[in-house]
Amino acid sequence: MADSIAASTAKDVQKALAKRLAHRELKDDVITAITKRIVRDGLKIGGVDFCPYGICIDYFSDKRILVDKILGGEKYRVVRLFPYGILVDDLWRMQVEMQVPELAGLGGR
Amino acid sequence: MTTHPSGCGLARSGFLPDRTVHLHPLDRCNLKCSHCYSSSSPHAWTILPPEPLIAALPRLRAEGYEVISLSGGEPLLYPWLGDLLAAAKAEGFRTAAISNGFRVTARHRPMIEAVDRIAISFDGLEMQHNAMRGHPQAWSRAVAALRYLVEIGKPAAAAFTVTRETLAEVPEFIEMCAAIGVRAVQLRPLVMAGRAREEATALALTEADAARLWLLAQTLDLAWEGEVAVHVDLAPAEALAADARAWDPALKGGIDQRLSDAVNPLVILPNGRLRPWTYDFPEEFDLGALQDLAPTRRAWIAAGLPRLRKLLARTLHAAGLEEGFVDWFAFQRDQAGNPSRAGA
Repeated sequence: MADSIAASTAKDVQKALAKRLAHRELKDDVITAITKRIVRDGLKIGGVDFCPYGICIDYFSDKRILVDKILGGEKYRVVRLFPYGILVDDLWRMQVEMQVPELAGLGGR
Repeated sequence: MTTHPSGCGLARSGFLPDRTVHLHPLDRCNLKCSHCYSSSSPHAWTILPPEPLIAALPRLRAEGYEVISLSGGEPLLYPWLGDLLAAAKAEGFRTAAISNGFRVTARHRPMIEAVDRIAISFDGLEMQHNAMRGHPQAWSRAVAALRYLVEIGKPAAAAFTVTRETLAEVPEFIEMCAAIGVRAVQLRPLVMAGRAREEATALALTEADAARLWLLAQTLDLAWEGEVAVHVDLAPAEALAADARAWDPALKGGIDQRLSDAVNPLVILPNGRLRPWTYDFPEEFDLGALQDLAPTRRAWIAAGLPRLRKLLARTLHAAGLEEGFVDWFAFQRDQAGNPSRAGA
């Protein structure tokens, strides 16, 4: 029960954020700056999630991930790096959490 | 090597998940939309006869194509659609169609049942949609079509063309789709082609709006996870360039390669011309006529493909230099439209 309530609340926040994005409550330069931070060195983006302090991103790469290069120029709150699995053994996944102050409060209703 | 998601054993060819024929069997449509990339209308009369089309299906299958994706004009107006779908199914093709919804009704149920997947196209919420379509019932008929697909148990999907004016309407549209039971929504940035070049230039998304739409789509896909899958026809340009290996079959195949290795999707125009990648790709890259596919394919691979390869390599390189988000097929078309980049 607690899980379903938590999931519902998270989705409500995401829907509210979507409406504010769509209504251009974030200015062009802010949007451009945020997406530039997300797009890193040609890494495939598997998913983007939003949390109270910013954005969580799933990156995928089928080549050697250059950790120094990825971590340079960006301060991540959390970084997790692991092989994707047995089925696709040359695929790597990198999960990061980064602070995006511009998004603070945008998920509120 | 990245294998094909269908499990058919073929390598992936380009950025599409399937090896696809985009078939435009007619340019006639019951609507005349102000942004139509194929300039279709009730007064357009170019139509592909069924005989050469059905006769070409085994050849197309042998070339590795596995999906026939119908557009138009309005594909449900094609007089021989039933025969075409039956022949395509007999050859083992999967079929898809995009419709304005006017004919997605009980009266046309056999044809609708014969298509594996149908998407209904939208241009905004009611006011914007009707204005773009030039018809006061366009919205209500399109929504009724979605409801009908759900009612008969057909997977319902919608394609939403996003403009500068309709970007703000996307969340409400997805919400409506979820309430109806639509499973997937494809967000398509307005492409400057066909009639849009004359009537809708002011509606194109800015670079910042393209970034905004991409972020919005990620948010909506997450927000409606498990109910509506939200996909956007935009990707970071540098990520596309980094995925260049998907084009290896096109860039590296020999003289005996399948056509679907070299060209995916293959576009068939209402006049029977075969065109690489997009409806509005420059005519100079055409592969020839549908009727001549079997005898001319080898000659085209020898003579025409090298030029297309050169363009593709340059396009992938250009993507690597590009910042921001691009609609890959529009990007390809734009690169080809610049003679200095086309290797002409």
